[in-house]
Amino acid sequence: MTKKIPIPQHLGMPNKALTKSSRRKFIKTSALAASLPSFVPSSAFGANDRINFAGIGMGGRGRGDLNSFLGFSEIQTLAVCDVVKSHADQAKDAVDRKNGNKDCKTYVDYREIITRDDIDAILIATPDHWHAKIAIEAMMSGKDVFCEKPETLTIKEGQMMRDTARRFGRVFSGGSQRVWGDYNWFHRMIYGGAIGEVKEAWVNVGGPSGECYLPEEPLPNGVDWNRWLGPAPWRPYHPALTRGGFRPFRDYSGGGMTDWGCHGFGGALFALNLHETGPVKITPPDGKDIKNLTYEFSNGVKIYHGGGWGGLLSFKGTENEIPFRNNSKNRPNPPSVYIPNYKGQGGLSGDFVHCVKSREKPFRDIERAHRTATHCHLGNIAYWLKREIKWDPVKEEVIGDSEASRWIDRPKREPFTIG
Amino acid sequence: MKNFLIIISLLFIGFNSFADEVDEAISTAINFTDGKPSEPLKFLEAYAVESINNPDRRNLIEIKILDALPKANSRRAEDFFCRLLRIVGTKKSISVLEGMLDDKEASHMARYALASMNYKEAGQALHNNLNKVSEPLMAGIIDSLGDIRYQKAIPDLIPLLDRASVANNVTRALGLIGATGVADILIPRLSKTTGKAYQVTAQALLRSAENQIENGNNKEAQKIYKTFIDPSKDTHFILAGLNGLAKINDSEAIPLLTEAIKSDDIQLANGAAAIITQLNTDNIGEKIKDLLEKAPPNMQILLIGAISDRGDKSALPTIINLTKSDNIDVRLTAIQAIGKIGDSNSLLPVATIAASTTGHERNLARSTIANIKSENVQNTIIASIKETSPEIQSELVRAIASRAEESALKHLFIYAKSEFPSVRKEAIRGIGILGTANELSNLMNLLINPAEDSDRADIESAIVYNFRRIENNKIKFNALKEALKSPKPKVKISVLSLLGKNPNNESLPLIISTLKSEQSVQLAAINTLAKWPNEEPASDLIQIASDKKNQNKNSALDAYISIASKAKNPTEAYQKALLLDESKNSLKRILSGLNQFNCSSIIISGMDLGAHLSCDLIFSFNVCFLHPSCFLHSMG
Repeated sequence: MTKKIPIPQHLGMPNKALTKSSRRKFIKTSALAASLPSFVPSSAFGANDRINFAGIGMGGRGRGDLNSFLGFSEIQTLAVCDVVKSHADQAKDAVDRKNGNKDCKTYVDYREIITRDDIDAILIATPDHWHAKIAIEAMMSGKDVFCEKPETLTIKEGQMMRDTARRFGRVFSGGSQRVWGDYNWFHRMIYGGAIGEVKEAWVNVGGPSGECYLPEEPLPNGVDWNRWLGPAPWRPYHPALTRGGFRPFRDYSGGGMTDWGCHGFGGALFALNLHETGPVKITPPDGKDIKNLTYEFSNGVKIYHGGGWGGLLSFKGTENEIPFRNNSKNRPNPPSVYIPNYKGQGGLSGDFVHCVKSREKPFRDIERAHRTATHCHLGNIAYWLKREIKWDPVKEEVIGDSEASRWIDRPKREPFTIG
Repeated sequence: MKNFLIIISLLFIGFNSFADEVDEAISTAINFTDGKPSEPLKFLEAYAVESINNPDRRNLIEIKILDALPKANSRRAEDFFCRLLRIVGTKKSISVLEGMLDDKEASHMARYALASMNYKEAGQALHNNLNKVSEPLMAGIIDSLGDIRYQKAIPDLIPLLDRASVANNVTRALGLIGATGVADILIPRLSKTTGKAYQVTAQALLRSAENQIENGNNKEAQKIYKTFIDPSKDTHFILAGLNGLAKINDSEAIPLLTEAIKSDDIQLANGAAAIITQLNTDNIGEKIKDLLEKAPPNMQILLIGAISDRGDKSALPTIINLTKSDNIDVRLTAIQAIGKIGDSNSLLPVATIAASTTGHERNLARSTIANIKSENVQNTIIASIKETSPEIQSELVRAIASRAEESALKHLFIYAKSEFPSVRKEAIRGIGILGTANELSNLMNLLINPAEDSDRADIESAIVYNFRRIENNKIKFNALKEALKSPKPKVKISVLSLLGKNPNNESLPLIISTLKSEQSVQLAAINTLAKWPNEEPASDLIQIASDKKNQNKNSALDAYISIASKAKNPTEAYQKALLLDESKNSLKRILSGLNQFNCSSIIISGMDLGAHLSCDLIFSFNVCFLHPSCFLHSMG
C-alpha cells in the first residue's frame, strides 16, 4: 500500500492530555482508521412496518427493557409472559397504558408466545438458565430475539444459539447496552491510537457463581416453580431466586463474572477488537505470583479479571494508559475515528428495531454476545477448577483437558430440551 | 534416610487426617438438606477439584462418593454426589450412575454426570437404558444421546420417532448425530408435521446438512437445503434453504437469491441480500448486474450494500452508474460503496459528484475519495487533473491532501500556483494540514511570491497551522524575520500579522523596527501591537500618536488605548491617551477603560467635552456618585 504522511490532527489544537509521542501516533492512527460510516436508509425496508412484539421474563429488568421498546413507534407489544403472575400483570399494565387499551395478553408459559404466528420479535429477560431454550425455540419459529445478558449459561448454549440464528437468518441482539453506550470513550481512544498499542486490560467485575444451598421455603400461590427451574437441576423453592437473587448460583447464572462481566469484558473485548474470537489460555490466580485470573490471546494481549485503577475498565498501551491515573475524571475528547456501532436511532433497543427491519446484524449480534459470554464462562471454569485452561477459539474447544471440557455444557433436566 | 522417613511419615499422617476430614464431610453430606450448614459440601467440592490432577486422591474421593451415593438420605444429597462425580468421576462411576437412570428423581443428575463424561462407556450406559426407562425420563436420555452424538443409538432411536411423546427429542437427536441417511428418514416427516414438530424436524435436517458438509457429503446437504426452497414454506425456512445452498453451490443459489430479492416479502428480500454478502465466490456483482440495474431502489440499496461489504469490485461500473440515480438514497449508498470497493478509476466520477453537489452528498463524496483504497490514486489524480474543470480540480487537489500520500506536499505546492483560485485555495489548505517544519521554507516562499496577492490570507492560515506543529520557536521566528526582509509591503504586512499571533520578547523589536516603514506597513505593525499582551510597545505607539503629521496617529492612539489596561498604572496610561485624543474620537473607549480601574483618577475638569459624549459621561458620573471621593476629586 502507498506510504502515507502522518496526518496532523485536522486544523485543531493538540490534545493536551496526550504525550507528544502518543499524540503523533494517535494522529496517524485516527486518520488511517477513519472510514465511511455504514448505513442502510430507511427507504430500504419500509419505514412504517410494525413489529409485533412480546416480552418473556417480566421481572424488574424485563419490565425496564420492555419500557425502552415501548417508546418505539414501530413496536406493537401484543403479549407478555412470566412464571410469576404479578410480574406479567405489571408488564401488561405498562403495555396497556401505552396502547390505550386492555389488549395485551399475559401468559405463564412462554410457548404460548412462541406459537403465535402474529409475533415477529421477542424480548427475553428471564433468568440466564432459560435464555437459550426460549431464544432457540423463538428463532426456530421465525422470530427475532433481543436477549438480556448474560445471553447464555454455558458455552454450548451460545454455540447453539448462534448456529440457529444463522441457519434461519434471524436477528439476535444481546442485551449489553454498556459495551458501546458506556464504554465508547475507551473504544474511540484505543481505535484512535491515543494510547498506542494496547497489550493489557483490566476488568473489574464480580466473581464466579457457586452452588445454591438456600433453605427450602413454602411455595406461594402464583409461582410456577417447576417452570422457573426449567432446564436447571431440581431444588426446592426459595423466594430469593424468583426475586432476582439467582445470580450467585451456578445452576442459573455465572455470577458477577457473567452478569457485569458481559458488560465489562464485552467492553474490553470490543475495545481490543477481540470480540469475535476468544482467549487461548485462561489462568486462575494461584495466590502467589498470579494475582488475577488472566486471559491470554494469540496476539499477546492479556486481559485480567480485577485489578486496574480506573473503575470497571483499565487499559495500558505502549504510550499511555486509560483512564489517566492522575485525572481520571477529566477525560479528553477522544480522537475523531469512526467505529461502526448502533444502527438506527435509540441506542441498543433502536439498533435491534432497525435490524429487525433491515435484516442487518445488530451491534450485539449473537456472535459477539456468545463470544463475550464464552469469555466469562471460561474464566468461571478456570476459577471453579482452579487450573489453567487452554482454549481453541476457532474450534471453540478446550484443548487437552477432558475434565474442563465437561463444563462446556450441562445436561438439561427433562423435559426441558434445548434446541 | 532418617529425615526421609520423617517426611514420609508426616505426609502419611497429613494424608490420613485429610482422609478423615473427607469421611466426616461425606457422612454429613449423606444427610444434607437445603438450609443445613453447607461447609462440608463446599469442602468436598474443593477437595474434588484439587484431586483432578492427583490420581490417588481422585481415586480415593471417587470411591468414597460411590460408596456414599446409595446411602444418601435425601434427593439433594444424591444430587450433590452426582455433581461431585461430574467433576472427578471416571469409568468406575458409570455403572453406579447408570443404575440411577430409571429413578424419576435421580435420573437427571445421573445424566448430568454421565453425559458430561467423554467416555464411550457413558454413551453406552445411556443407550442401554433408552428403552428401559419411563417416557419422561426417556426424553432426557434421548436428548443426552443426541448431545454426545452417540451414533450407535441411531437404530434404536428411529423406531421411537413414532412415539409422539418423544418424537421431537428423537428428531433432535438424529439431527445432532447427523449421520448419512438421516435426511431420508426426516425429509418425509416434514410433510407430515406442523408447528413445533415441523420446526424441530427442520432444525434437525439443517443440522444434519451441516454435518454432511463437514464430512464432504455436499450432495446429501444439497438435498436437504432444496427441500426448504419452496414458496409455500415460512420465510425463515426458505432463507435457511437458500443460505445452505449458497454455501455449497453458489451458481445454483444466485438465480434463486435474485428471485428472492425481488420478492414482496421484505424479510425474504432483505435476508437474501444478506446471504449474498456471505457467498463464497468471486464476482457476484457481475453475476447480478442486471438485477442491480433494474431492481427497485430499496433492493438496489440492499444489494449495493451487500456487494460492497464483501469487497466485490466486479459491480463497480454498475455502482458508479448508480451514483446518478434519481433516488437520493441509492446515490448515497452507491457513493459510500465506492469508498469500500472503488479504485483509481472511480476518482473522477466521485470528484465530479463532490464538485456538483452540496451537503451530505458532497461530504460523502469527499470522504469516499479520501478513503478509496487502491494503489496509484494520487498518480491518477495528477495525470487526469488538467483535463477537468476548475471545480473538479479543486476536489481532486483536496483529495491529494486528504489522502496524504507521501509525495502529496510536492504536488500541493505546484497546485498552490494554479491559475484557478479555488484550486490554489485547496492546495494551500492541504499544505497547512500536512506540512511540517520541512515545508516551512517553501511555505514562506509562497507567502513572498504567491500566485496572487489574494492568496495571502490562506497562506497565512496555512503558516499558522504549520507553526502549531513546530515546537522550536526559534525556527518560526527566524523564518518570519527572514521574510520580513522582503521589500514587498504586502509581505511585511502578512509577516507582521503572523508575528502578532505568537507574541514574544524576541519578536517585539522586530515589529517595532517596522514602525518606521511606509504607512501601510506601519499601520500593520500598529495593528499587531494593538493586541500585544503587555505595555512594552506603549511608548512607541504614543510617539506615533503624538505625531500630528502621521496619518496613522489615530490608529496608534487606538492601539495604545488597547494596551493601556495592561500598563502598570492604567489610570495614568488612560490619562495620557485622554490628553492626546484631541478629536475626542476615542474618548468613549478611554472613559470605558478608566471605569474599569480607580475612577478617582478621572480628570475631566478643564476639558471641553463634546455634547455627543454626554451619555458616556453620565454613565461615568453615575459610577462616581457611587464613589463620593472619586466624584469630589473629579469635580475638584
